[in-house]
Order: sequence, then structure tokens, then C-alpha cells
Amino acid sequence: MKKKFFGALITVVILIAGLSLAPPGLGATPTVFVSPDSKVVQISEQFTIDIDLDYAEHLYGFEIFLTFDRTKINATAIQYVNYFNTTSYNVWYSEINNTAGYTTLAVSCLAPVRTGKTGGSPPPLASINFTAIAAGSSTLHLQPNRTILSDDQGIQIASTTLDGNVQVAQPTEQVLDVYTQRGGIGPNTSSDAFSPAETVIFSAYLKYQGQPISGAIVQFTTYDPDGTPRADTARTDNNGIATSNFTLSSDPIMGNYSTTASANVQGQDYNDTVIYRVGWIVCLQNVIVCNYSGTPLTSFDRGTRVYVNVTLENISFTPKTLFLWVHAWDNNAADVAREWMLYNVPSGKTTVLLGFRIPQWSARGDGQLYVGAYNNPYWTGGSAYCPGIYSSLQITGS
Amino acid sequence: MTKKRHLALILFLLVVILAIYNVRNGNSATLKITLNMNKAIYNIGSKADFWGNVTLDGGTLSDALVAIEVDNQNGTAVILRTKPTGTINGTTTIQILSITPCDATGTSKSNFSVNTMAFFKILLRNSENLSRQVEITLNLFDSKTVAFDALTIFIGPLYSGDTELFVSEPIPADVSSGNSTVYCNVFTSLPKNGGYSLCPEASASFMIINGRPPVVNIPEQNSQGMYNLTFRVDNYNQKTRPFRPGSYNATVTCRYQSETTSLAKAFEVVLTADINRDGSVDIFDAILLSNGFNTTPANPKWNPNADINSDGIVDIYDAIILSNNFGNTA
Repeated sequence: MKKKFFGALITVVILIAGLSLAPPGLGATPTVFVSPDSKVVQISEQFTIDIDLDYAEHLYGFEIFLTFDRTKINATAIQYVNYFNTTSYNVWYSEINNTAGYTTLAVSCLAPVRTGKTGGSPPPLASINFTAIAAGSSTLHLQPNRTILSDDQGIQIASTTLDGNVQVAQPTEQVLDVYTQRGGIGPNTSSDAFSPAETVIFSAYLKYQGQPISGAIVQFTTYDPDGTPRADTARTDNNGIATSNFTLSSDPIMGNYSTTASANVQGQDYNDTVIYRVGWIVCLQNVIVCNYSGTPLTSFDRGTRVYVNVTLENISFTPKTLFLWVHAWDNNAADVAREWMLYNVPSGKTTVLLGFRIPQWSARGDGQLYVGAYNNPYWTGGSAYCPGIYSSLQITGS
Repeated sequence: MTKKRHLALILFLLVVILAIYNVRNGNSATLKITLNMNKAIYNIGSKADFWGNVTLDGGTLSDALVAIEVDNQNGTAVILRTKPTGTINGTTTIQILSITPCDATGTSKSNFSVNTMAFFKILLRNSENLSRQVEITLNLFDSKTVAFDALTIFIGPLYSGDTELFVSEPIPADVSSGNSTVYCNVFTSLPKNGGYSLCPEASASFMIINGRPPVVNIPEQNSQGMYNLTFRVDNYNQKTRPFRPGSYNATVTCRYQSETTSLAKAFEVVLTADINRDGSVDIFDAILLSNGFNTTPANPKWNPNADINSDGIVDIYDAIILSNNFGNTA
């Protein structure tokens, strides 16, 4: 019983091995196909595709007819690649038509030589060179009724076809790049923030195939957070750079602005956008006079502790030197507290709680507290990042 | 044979279970802290000694930092300190580089008159790449080792790099003149909230002038393997002073390696000579002292509250102290 089983197993193995060693396509319908079946290329890239035949018995001649999207790729050459492995052949016809979007080739062996391939790894029937001209996709379609295989009797060998596809990608080279003096280099990359009254300088770098384009017109269109546009144009200089600028008002609309640069290069429009935030670079968002637990209070006994909860935001991409200044005074304008912090505040929001004690000798009545955010200590000429915030501080007690 | 196999299998399973248990529980070490006080009830004006140690798996640590907080009956901190149990080796990632007494403009200054503002400039460093949420405190002691202020001056993120902090601090009218000390501490949060010290405390000396007559500081003892804190319970009589009669709570915490431990203990602060604990030193206290005059603990009439100086006998010395405090109220 065991022997029988092994016998059957060996038979199956031999059969499988035998099948795999048989000539390709033996007994099957020959297939004419595009190789590779898919390809990704860049605009302006030149590339080659082959028309292959897996196997055909008694092949003596062939014709291929390949159509393509002429708006995406153009054929530049079509060659017979000595499929028959003989010099005794003739190219009866070849054509490239980029207006209609096809190319064709007809080849046969010449009598009396007959060298139709019967297996192995033959060269392709044909090679076709293309140039990619625009982004998009093109089918490489072998038209079945004009893709013909024939034997030496002029009888068509039944065959099938397999199409291919070419994807023309957007150029990896960024033709147009707009950025500000605070960054944004790269496609649709954000720039660091600007504060009111600052001048935003835009630069648009235009290049094509690695070469800067001079004298080209670049349009800059800026949208404020409300969507109000502001347009300007400039020509690129010898380095391919066009510049424009505008100065923010002292009380601008705060929020995200965008500036898009547009230019036309060789009939194609290119654009790039830079986004940047306009606001106080370090902004005091909230100041709450409170107790240790954070409960807001406006009235404090002399000798008791006062806490100031300060929320601020650094809207820039990088840490900023912050001089956070807290000053409180009583009804007689005498100091109640002076506190400051000097540190690098990172991007984003920060909340700190600062505490001080009201002196026993402070005057009762309406005091005040001021919180300011500066880029440096005042004694080194620091300037305010944003308007300071005043809070009332009622001082009570015996 | 079968029994032996069963026994071996059971032993093997036990070993596996124990191994899994240890892995699941991280095989954690046991960190313990002790807290001792020289008294359970302190008269205002008396000296308080706190001490203890920190052990890890029973072994005494001589390089641990102990955060100490004492809170009054309102839950307000009156003592905020960090004491080592010995020598702290190396530097912590959070450091207090300096604390400098100065004037309003930041210029170094060492003398401050009572009823004026003192200022302190503190330089901190975070050597980590990430920010740390911290609570920074000041604790000020006059020459009598009375803590006249304990204050949180900052809660927030301490960012990577250096941070300068400048704070003002009023010097009250009734503190003692002489050599005073400010201590700066960085906690994760206050010890009563489970916080612990992130680094050794930093201190600076300054002189208080025009205050009460100067006295000599109580020296603190420091011994290897033990933390020690000495201070005097405030004997001043202002409502805003830290120490007033009432119930107090001391909390000590310690983080060592990845373990944290804490312990809290209560104690009482009473008005000196307030024998009946009613918040005033009056005729009723005098009567109680008279009733127990010349008694010792063995005597049925013994009233420990009447032994004001805690010398084991109610005598003329206690009467004199009562006389000196007569009329005081909490």
C-alpha cells in the first residue's frame, strides 16, 4: 500500500516537472504583449517599450499596430529587433503617427530561409521609443485586428494581445517654488509666522529642467484669513527669482494667510503656495489673577498670596526668547510685586502659574497687575511681543 | 517514580508561576521612609526637630533626597524643604544653579530692611531634551530659624535649557534681624500632593536689618543615612504668620531610582502657656497652673499642659512663662 502511494507521488512529481520543462506556449494561443506592461515615467523622459511574443510555431512574419495617447506620450522610433535571428528578413512597413497616436511595423522572413523561432528567450518583435510630454496615463493598445502573426503559407496564426500602460508622473523637479524670508521652501510648504506691521517678502524661484528661467512673469496672489485677495506680479531675474512684498498693517486680520505664485513655462501653468500665520509671535492669551487652586479672585488681603495664571502661545516654528514680566502695584502706585521669567518658550501654548505675596504694608484699595511678554529684558532694550494685559487687584485687610 | 515526577512537575510549575509573577510585578524594590519628631505638641516658639531615614529593601540610603512639607490647619504650606540623607553624587537633570538676593533691578544685594521688598534671582537648568512640569518654591527663615514665608513661586513646564526666575518677597516687620536664609526647591508638585524633589535645594544667605533683636541660628545636624530638619515654630503673633496654634501635618516623600515613597504625620502647635487650649492665655490658664503647682507626672493632679517648659515639673518657671505670655491670643 505504501509502495503504491509513493509510486503515485513520484508519477505526479514527474508529470509536474515534465510540464514545467515543456516549451512555453506549447499548444496554447500565442500572445503578443507589451513589455513591461506598466511603466512610470517623468515628463520629458525618453523611454522604450518592447512588443514581445511568448511563442508561436512556424512564425514567418508579423505586423503590429500599437495605439497610444498622443497628448501624454509621443513615439520617436520603432525598430525590428531581429526576432527571427537572421539577416534574411524585410521590414515591409513602419510608421509613427503622433497626430493620430499610433505606430506600426510589419516584418517577415525572406524565402527560402525560414527561421521562425520555436522557443527559448527570443528578442522582442519590436522596440518602440517614446518621449513623455505631459502628466497622465496612456494605454499602449495592441490593436487586435492589426496585430497579426503569419506562417510561411500566409496563413494567420491565431493569437491574442495584451496591452500595457504608461503613467507620466508630475515632474519631480519643482518648477516653481514660492517662499518667504522665513521659510516655506518646497512644494506647498508653510513659512514661519509674521507679526503685525512686519513686511512679508515673497520669493518665487522658477526653473525648468534644472535651469533657472529669467524674465518670466510670476503672479503672486495673497489671501488673508477672510479670503480677500491681493495680487501682484514680478519678473524673474537672471537667477530665476521673482520677488514681491507687502507690509502688514499694525492691526491686521490675524490668522493664516496664503500666497500662491503662478507662472507659465513652455505652455504649462505651474504654481506653488506658501502659508504663513500672522499674529503676535508670542501672544498673551489669558491672564487670571487667582489663588493657588486657580480660582479667579479679584480681592486679596494684605499679607496673603496671589497667583497669576498666564496662558501664552508662541506661534512661530522655533523657540523664542521670552521675558515674561509681572508687575503689581497698590493704590499708591507702590510696588506689590515684581516678577519675571527669562527662558526659551517653545512653539505652541504654555500655561504658567506665578505666585507672590502682598506685603503687609501695601495700601488698601484698587491695585493693578500687569503682565507683559517681551523678546528680551527691558534693561537690554527688549520689545514687546504683544500688547500687555492689565488686571485689577483689590487689596483689602487690616 | 510517578510521585517523584508529579513532585518535579509541581515544582516546575511553581517556579514558572513565580517567574511570571515577578515579571508582571516588575520585581519592585521596597522603598520606605521614616519620620520622627521631637514632640507631638509644640508650644509656639519652641524648636522642632524632624528626622528620619530612607531604606531600599531594608538597606539605608545615604544618597536620597527627601522632600518635606509642613502644612498648617488650612492646608497651607509653611515649610517646604529638601533634605539629603547623605551625600548626593553627581548632578540631577534639573538643577538650581544659583539663587541670588538682589534689588529690584537684579543687582546683587545682601541687606534688606524689614518692611521692604527683597528680590531673588534664581537660575535653573533642565538638562533633559524634554520639558518637565515643576513646582518651584521659596522658603525663608530669619535668624531665629522661624520660617516667615513658604511660597510656590512657579508652576509650569521647565523647558530644556536655562530659565531665569526673578521674584519679590516682602520682609515682614516682625522678623528677627540677622543672618537669614532663603531656600529654593524644585518639586514635581508639592509633597502633600505626592510630589517629590527633583534636585537638591539651593540656598542663599542675606541679612535682615531693623527687625527684632538678632539671635543665633539653630544649627542643623546632618548625619550620613539620616535626614534632619530643624526649625523654630513661629512665636510671632500676626494672623498671616505661618505658625499659629492648631493641627499641623508633615509630609515627607522620596523618589529613589524608580520607586516613590511618602509618609505623613500630624502634630499640634499650641499657644505658649495656653494650658486649656482655648486660644488665649488668661486667668483660666493661671488657675490650672496653680492647681497643678509642684506636681510631677506621678501626681494625680499632674497636667502635662501646665508643664510649659517640659521639664517634668510644674513650678515657678512655668508660672513665669505664663506670666510672660499672659494676654496672648491665637
